[in-house]
Amino acid sequence: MAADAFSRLPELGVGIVYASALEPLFQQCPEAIDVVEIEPQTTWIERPDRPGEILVRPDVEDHLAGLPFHRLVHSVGTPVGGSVTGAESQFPLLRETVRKLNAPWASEHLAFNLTPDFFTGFFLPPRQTEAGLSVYTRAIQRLAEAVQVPLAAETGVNYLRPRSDEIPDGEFMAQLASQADCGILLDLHNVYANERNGRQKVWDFVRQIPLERVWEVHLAGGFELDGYWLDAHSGAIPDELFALCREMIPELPNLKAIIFEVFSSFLPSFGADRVRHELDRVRSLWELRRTRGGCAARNHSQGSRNGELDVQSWESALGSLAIGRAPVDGLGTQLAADPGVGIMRRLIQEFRASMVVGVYRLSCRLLMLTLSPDIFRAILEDFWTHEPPRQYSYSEAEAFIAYLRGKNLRLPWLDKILEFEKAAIETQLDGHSRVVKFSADPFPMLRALAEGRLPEIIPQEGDYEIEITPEGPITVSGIDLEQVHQAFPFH
Amino acid sequence: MATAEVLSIPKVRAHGTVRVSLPAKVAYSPDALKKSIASLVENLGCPKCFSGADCLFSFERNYVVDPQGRLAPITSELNPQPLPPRESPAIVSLSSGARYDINKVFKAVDNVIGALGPCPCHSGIDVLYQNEITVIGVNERGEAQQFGG
Repeated sequence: MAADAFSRLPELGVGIVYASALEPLFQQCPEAIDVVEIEPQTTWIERPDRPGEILVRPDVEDHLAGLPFHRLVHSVGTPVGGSVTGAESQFPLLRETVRKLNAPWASEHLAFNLTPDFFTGFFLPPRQTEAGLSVYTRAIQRLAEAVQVPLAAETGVNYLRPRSDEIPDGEFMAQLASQADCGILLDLHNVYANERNGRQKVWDFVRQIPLERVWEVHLAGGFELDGYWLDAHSGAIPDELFALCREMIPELPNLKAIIFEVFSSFLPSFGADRVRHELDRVRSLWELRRTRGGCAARNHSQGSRNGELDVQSWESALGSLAIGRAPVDGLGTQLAADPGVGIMRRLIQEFRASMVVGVYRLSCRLLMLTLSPDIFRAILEDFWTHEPPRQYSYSEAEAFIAYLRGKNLRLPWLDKILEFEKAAIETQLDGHSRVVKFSADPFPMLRALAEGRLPEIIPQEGDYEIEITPEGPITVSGIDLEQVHQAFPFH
Repeated sequence: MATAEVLSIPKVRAHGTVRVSLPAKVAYSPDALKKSIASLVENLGCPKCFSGADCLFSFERNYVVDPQGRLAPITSELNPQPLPPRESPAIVSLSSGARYDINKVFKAVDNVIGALGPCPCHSGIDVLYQNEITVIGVNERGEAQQFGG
């Protein structure tokens, strides 16, 4: 794309990454938002019994397409910093999503999440060598061709220490964007986190990249854990980063959108008011943008460190370590000495545990309440040593449940609560009614688990059936409707 | 133990089949009606940007320990330090030697369930499990040790 093509992209404004929990905010203060960025894979479901087969709910897509804002597509499942091409089955779906949402451009992460053998469960940093440039250039071009709109590669977070055999972060991004002829999604919180964690300084990074290729900026908050600043998307933009942004935003001649990111699971504690406040801060940055182009492309260094380690060796070594396996070669041993690997491993574990409790919430609460959270965690850790991560939450959760069934835990109620939750999921997926039978009143247990406790009464024995239907009213026979309302306190 | 009140509740068998029909989205997510359809699939799909941090597990872990404390400072959410045990009538505690040895963990769970005896209500958590046993510890040999109750 010619530089003037970047300037012709539409100016979208201030936005936020979509989460369903933000919908009340969309209604309460639509004036705060110009654009929502949608991560399509977060609304796709993989059938665990048919790996690789993706189910897209048309009603969800219709809902997203109907949001009264501009829409951007930010893919989180086909990263362009890897050599393994297994995610290409998602390309047609992505293209269709881009079309349906009328997104003027799309973006994806400069990271990898696949090795030939397993999914890593995390975006891991690419191999910053000449070999890497060549591999990732092709990956960007393939994805850009697939989505049929301009594509921007996102600058990633990297918890590893800088290596002597890699091209510096900014220079690598510059060379890649030029070779692949793509845009840059400048995630300033990532770059800020990298600086805080011992990598390149933010200003050095920004001075090395071709600023005319920056169409979009991501901002977020994080926090420190074990001496690392996490790209946690946990809340407010740090003041120090905000001050940097005030100086940098005017330097971006083709900036078209600034997106604030906050992770769904932090929203309950961060709160809608503070999200609104951050959006106002972001808008004040947006007002600082340069509205006319003209920034000359920089003369980028073509120098590079030698890339004697090939990209696939990097992916296998780092991927294995990140999911908790022992190093098997020299590179693995070298990387294992980097304390950043430990923080990646820990974040992957939190993702994996969160996927399981997010899908089978009541069953997991039952396990934690009856066994204790520590024992539940120990069981999860054993599961992680046997099974690599899955990309989709439902698949991850099903793998855990299969593992658990193999352990034949004789916990009362566990099988039935699992059956109930699974039936509710399956009925949502295929639209077929299911009946779950109980030999004791399940409603006190369901209510107690919803409230984070075990029931305090003896359940009445008897034949109980819960029919889970795709749609329709709640009907009861042989029991007070009030009892059901208490178990499902939504009316 | 304050079990008398609970134990006085008669455990009678219901007559006939009790049947309840529920829409799946309500069964799966009790507050589903307040949310958009997108929220229902968010739980099952790919998590958001895989380079951040997801605190949902810590959130759930804290919730079952302290249901009233769900808005605890978020920066501590990922802290893996063991939480103080909730004032729960039945707490399985493992000795330090057993905590991270998964075989001992499973053996301990098996022993604890065995020590509780058959549940009078075979599909329900027996009130004895909840209210008569204060703490079940497991010794170094993975054997259930009962205290209190």
